[in-house]
Amino acid sequence: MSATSSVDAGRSTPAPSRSTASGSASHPSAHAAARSSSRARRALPLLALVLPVLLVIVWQLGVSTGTFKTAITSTPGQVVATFFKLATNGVLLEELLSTVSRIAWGFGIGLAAGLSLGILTGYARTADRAIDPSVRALNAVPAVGWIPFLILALGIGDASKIALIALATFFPIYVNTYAGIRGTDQKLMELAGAYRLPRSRIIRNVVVPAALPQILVGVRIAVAISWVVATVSEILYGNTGLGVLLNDGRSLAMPDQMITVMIVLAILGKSSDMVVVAIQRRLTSWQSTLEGMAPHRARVVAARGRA
Amino acid sequence: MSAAISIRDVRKSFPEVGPVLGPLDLEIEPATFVSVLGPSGCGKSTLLRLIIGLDTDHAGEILFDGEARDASVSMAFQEPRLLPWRSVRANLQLVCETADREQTIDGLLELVGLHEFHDALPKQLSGGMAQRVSLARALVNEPEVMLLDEPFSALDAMTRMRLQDALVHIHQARPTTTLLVTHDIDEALVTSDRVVVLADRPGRVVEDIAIAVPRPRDRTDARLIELKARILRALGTVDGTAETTPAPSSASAEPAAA
Ligand SMILES: Nc1ncnc2c1ncn2[C@@H]1O[C@H](COP(=O)(O)OP(=O)(O)OP(=O)(O)O)[C@@H](O)[C@H]1O
Ligand SMILES: [Mg+2]
Repeated sequence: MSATSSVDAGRSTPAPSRSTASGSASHPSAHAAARSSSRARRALPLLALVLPVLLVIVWQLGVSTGTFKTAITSTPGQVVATFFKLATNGVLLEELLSTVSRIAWGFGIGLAAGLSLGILTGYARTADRAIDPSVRALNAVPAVGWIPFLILALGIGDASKIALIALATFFPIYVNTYAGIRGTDQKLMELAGAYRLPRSRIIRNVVVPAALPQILVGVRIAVAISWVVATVSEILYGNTGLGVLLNDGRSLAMPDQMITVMIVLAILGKSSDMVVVAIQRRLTSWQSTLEGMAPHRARVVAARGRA
Repeated sequence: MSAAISIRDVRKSFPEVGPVLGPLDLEIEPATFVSVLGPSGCGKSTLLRLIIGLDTDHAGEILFDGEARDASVSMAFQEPRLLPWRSVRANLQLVCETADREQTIDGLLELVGLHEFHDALPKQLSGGMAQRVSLARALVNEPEVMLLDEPFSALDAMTRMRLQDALVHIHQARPTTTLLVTHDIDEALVTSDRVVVLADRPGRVVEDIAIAVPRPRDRTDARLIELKARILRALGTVDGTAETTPAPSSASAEPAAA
């Protein structure tokens, strides 16, 4: 027990040398354990690669044994070749930029609108009464349900696709901003009242920071949704973008292209999510939550729970 | 610069718990330092909230200098109530309105012994440290009235005495009408012009003692010890629970502080 905790301390505190030193001084055996288990800890991120590798193996086996039809699944080798072809001839980059720029615009608009309206209705009672019910009602229309209307109103170009992404990202950001603002600790509001802070300072320095963790939850959902609706709109009525490459893969019988783009989308989606998580960590490090707890401490505390 | 407070026939009740305070009448002269003692739950924090105006739903009236006006009042809440995303310094900056903001803040952090921690986040502070930041915040704007709700409850004996002395010093340098809620009789005796003892819920004044001993005071002063007995008797009549510090132990611990 004591060996484990000193080992853990050595691995994950910001001052490893000090803690490991003390741990190894008192428990020589712990030192060896520390080394082997720290190797295990370093290998931990690789754990995430086990499933994809397994998948590729199954895929290859399925293709080799004829269980999978290559007309549908292509082969791992073919997909790698196609990836390099699309990556080097500029097609992938061009379509990717087209999708990403629409997402950037749409997400930017959705974020700005969701934040400002969410802060307004979350903080001001009258605005809440007047605006929030209608926003909630519109939220009940699925994002893709807007597509026919947006095509009629804005045509089949970029405008309607950007508008769709803006709408789809607006709602999760609005809902979470609103909830975050409403969730501000009463005690902090009283503090602001006791010190007679001007309203603008209350919003900027009390209410919005208090809501930030929840706002970032909304942002994370919105980022994920923006990839979904961008791709859907391109598949349905796109001229450019990754969704078009996907669709061409199907209609022109190029499953390798289809799967290449799916993999690219997976990587992009995961990467953008990681960026949001990094921002989240950074902006909410003032919280004392399980998330921010040093892993060894979390484990020590959790281990005390009765079975 | 400092305001008189008139509390006239003030009564407060909560729907869930019934009457918690009053009827209460108190006239507090400008620049006096008043301690409020009383059993837990007798409405001391509630009284401070009424005075600062966080709760206006009460009977009776609370006046500053005889008028129903807005006074500049600061308050150290019973809990530190620091904004967790702001550093110690930034917590003070948020409320500070003096012209030489940074000097004021530096001086106060020095005073409460937290200058080294000016960059720390609240989660990195101990309970007593957070409480000291909250006290510094209450001092920052040189208000007309200062309300302090058990500001030293989480502190060790030595730091507590040092800060009590500092508070006395500040009050002498710049006499502000001060209401100090405390469970520590010695604290009240060392700091105050006047000690008000409230009855158990609903809080009413059961004892109102003027302390004419000049400050700074010696904690072992015979006159204070005599007054302490009187306060203990008053508290004894209103409260069965042993909420307040018992006399013998704290009296014997004191000679060191002289
Ligand atoms: N917001 C509230 N709603 C309902 N009841 C409340 C509320 N605030 C306080 N009370 C009640 O009012 C009474 C007085 O509370 P208060 O906090 O003023 O006590 P106190 O004298 O400061 O006690 P302590 O010494 O323990 O801090 C208590 O019985 C409490 O239950
Ligand atoms: Mg209280």
